[in-house]
Amino acid sequence: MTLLKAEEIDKKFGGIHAVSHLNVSVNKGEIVGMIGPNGSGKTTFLNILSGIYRSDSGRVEFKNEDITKLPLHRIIEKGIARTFQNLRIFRNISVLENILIGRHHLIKNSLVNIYFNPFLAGRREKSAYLKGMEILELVNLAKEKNELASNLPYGKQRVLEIARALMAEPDLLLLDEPTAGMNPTEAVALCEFLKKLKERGFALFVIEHNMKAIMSISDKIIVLNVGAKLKEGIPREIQRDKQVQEIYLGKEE
Amino acid sequence: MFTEVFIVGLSLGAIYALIAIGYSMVYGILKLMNFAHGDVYAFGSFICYMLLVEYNLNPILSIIIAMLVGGLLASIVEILAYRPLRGLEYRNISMISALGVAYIIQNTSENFWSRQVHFFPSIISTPFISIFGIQVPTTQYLTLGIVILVVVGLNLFLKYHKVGKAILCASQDIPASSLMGIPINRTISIVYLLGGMLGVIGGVLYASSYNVLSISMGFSGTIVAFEASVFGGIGSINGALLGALILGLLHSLVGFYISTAYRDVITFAILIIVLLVRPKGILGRYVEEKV
Amino acid sequence: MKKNKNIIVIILAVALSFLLPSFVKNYYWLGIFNLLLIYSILCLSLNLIFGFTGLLSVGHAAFYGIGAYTTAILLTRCHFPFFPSLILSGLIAVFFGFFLSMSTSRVRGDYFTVITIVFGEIFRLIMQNWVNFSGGAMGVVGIPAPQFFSWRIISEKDFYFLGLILFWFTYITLSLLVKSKFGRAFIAIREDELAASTMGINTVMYKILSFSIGCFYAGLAGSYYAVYNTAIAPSSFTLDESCLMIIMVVLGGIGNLSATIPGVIVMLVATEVFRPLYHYRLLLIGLIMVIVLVRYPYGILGIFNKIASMRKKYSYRKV
Repeated sequence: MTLLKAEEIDKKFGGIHAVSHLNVSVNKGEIVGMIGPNGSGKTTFLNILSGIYRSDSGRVEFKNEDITKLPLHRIIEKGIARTFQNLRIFRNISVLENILIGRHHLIKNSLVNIYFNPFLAGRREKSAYLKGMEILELVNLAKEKNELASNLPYGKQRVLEIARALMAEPDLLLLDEPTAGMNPTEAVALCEFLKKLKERGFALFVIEHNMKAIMSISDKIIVLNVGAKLKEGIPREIQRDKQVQEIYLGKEE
Repeated sequence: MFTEVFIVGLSLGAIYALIAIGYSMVYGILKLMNFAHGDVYAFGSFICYMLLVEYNLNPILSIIIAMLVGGLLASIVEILAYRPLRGLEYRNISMISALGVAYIIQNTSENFWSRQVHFFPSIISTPFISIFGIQVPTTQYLTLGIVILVVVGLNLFLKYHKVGKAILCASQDIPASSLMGIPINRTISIVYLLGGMLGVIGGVLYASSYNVLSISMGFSGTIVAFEASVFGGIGSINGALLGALILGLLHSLVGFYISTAYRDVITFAILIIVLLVRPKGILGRYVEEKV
Repeated sequence: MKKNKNIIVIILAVALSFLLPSFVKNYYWLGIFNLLLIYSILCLSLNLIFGFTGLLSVGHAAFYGIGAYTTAILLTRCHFPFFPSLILSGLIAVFFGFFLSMSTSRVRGDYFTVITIVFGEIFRLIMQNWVNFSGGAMGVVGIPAPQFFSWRIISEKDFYFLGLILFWFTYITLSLLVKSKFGRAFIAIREDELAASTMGINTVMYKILSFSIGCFYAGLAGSYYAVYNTAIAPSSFTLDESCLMIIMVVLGGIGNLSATIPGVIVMLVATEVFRPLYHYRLLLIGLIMVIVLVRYPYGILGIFNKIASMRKKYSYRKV
């Protein structure tokens, strides 16, 4: 079943054609990887999917609903959560508070509830807390739940960001270079974790530069070059493709 | 009558430009609203006053010394009160520090020179000259002349001189500039120095034109600098000039045709409208945050 | 459980504070406490706006003033009873705060700060010049003592109890707010607006909400001040006052409600101590502001324990 369908996405920044007539689809429970040289438009495309940029033309459909013109803060309600290339966790609060913010749209307390029905409000907070502990257990951060986010080592901070996204119970996770800055051991552990997520039914759209990682987890890979799709296929095909090698390594003289 | 009000407005705007340019440059590089800007150059202007009136020093010398004092004070303020806060994640804490510095300088000035309005002697000896049949005080034409020189000089400096180019780079991207070998701390100090010096020139010209000097010109100066920068486009020197001229005209026209009491209220109201409608001003560049 | 312990501490604190006048009969000291209560209400609400949400507002005194003038005028000219005026003062402050904060959707943070400063100045200038409405520089005098059913609030002790009620109302409602998802949303906005939006927080709406709620309490404080002082003038609602509130919040600790009170106490003590040095008052306040910020930017009693490691010093060395 097709979860996400992006059709003819086009985006220009002044003179720069960042994304050019891009067509991408992600199915339920699938891991789709996107690779390409720096500046090929990967993050821009992800930003368009997550509502930060609006595409100049084209259409984004999620679960058969047109979300192209949806405001940023509504995207997560539809079931899409994301992480950032340059890590945007909330540094000065605890790990637990970080991921509780991820739960924001699912905690249905209104101002009226908080003041006039505190017991109901408390119960909802409690269940959010329990869900939070569950996710922290899943990512092995339960011990650090009261630790200040900025005190965590970098690898764990990246995991924290993913945990925060998971709290929103998304159908699709958009991950922008999740292994960036990780050492090989951490990267492998993360890949195992991402595969575990796939088993649990999450669909993932992952931008990566770490070839080993992306090839090992993806069901299919999309190669982007100067904003346009160069190739799409299973990892083995992409690895062997001459054109893909060229854009990374240059033409053989 | 209107022409005279207009020319007064233009020369007022020219003075504002000197004050606004320094303010705008600082914001351009550091994205910091330097609330102490006005009080710094006011202090410098008072130094000039002191030298001129109490020590009977030559006007040119007084101004030069005052400029140096003002510029130095601005740099010192930066080193002591802003630099330590530069790396902080909450950027608005620097603004609070700036407010604190403003109070420190203001209060110090008050204790030296009292809150009253002082008489500042005119520096120019010939009070009036006749141009195109209009009697205009010489000071005003001199002011316009000085400002044109300053702005042209500054533009050339920024474009061709090594330090000027460093300033432009720093206002685009500090880490990259640093990696390219630009001494950021020194460059920033120079910006503050320039801003302070220009401000003092402006302050002295204002005091000389209107023969008044008071501590309150500090705070109103900061407001003027901010308003001019917003109108013309913050971060841009030519924008600051344009905005300052517009502001000068506005002040002159509103003050004359409506009332001086509500002059500030009206200007503030226009400011808020401009901020809401076109926050980057006329010539400003709004830099998108990279995601 | 931790939560129950907190509730017990609060109940004890409330009880003790109401029993205080039995021990402290001196009217001078009760007056100091009343001042403490007013500033606490102002700074708690400012902490919500600035400490939690990250909106630096240097115009809070204007909303304090709006509340004060609302009550003053309603009581002296329209002969309104006090309690409805109190509520109205809060609501009218909210009204202005609501529209002012709508500008956050259009402008960046530092510009918003200047807008708050400018708004504060506009308010003060209008109150100073619109003599028919506000009494000009002389302000409004002869504000009658409030009466709540049969309770006439006249003495310092009466005002203490009224202030105390307002204070605990403020503290408890704000505590409930910041512990909820709303509080977390505010903090998220302060920390990283973009990430907050991605997590489903409508940042514009929450910023307006935070600011407006904060203004409500400022209005209440103003209303209290009007009847407490029986006279108000524009000189009480200046930029200096707004700056004082900011420094109280920063000193106590941004993002920490309980810590606000010590911040208020320290600054009030400081201003009292500096009173003989009246001419240097602002200089000393400014010095405290700068020194505290440079050394302890997150507040001496702030939520951050590792203050030194929090401050990243950028030192640009020639490569």
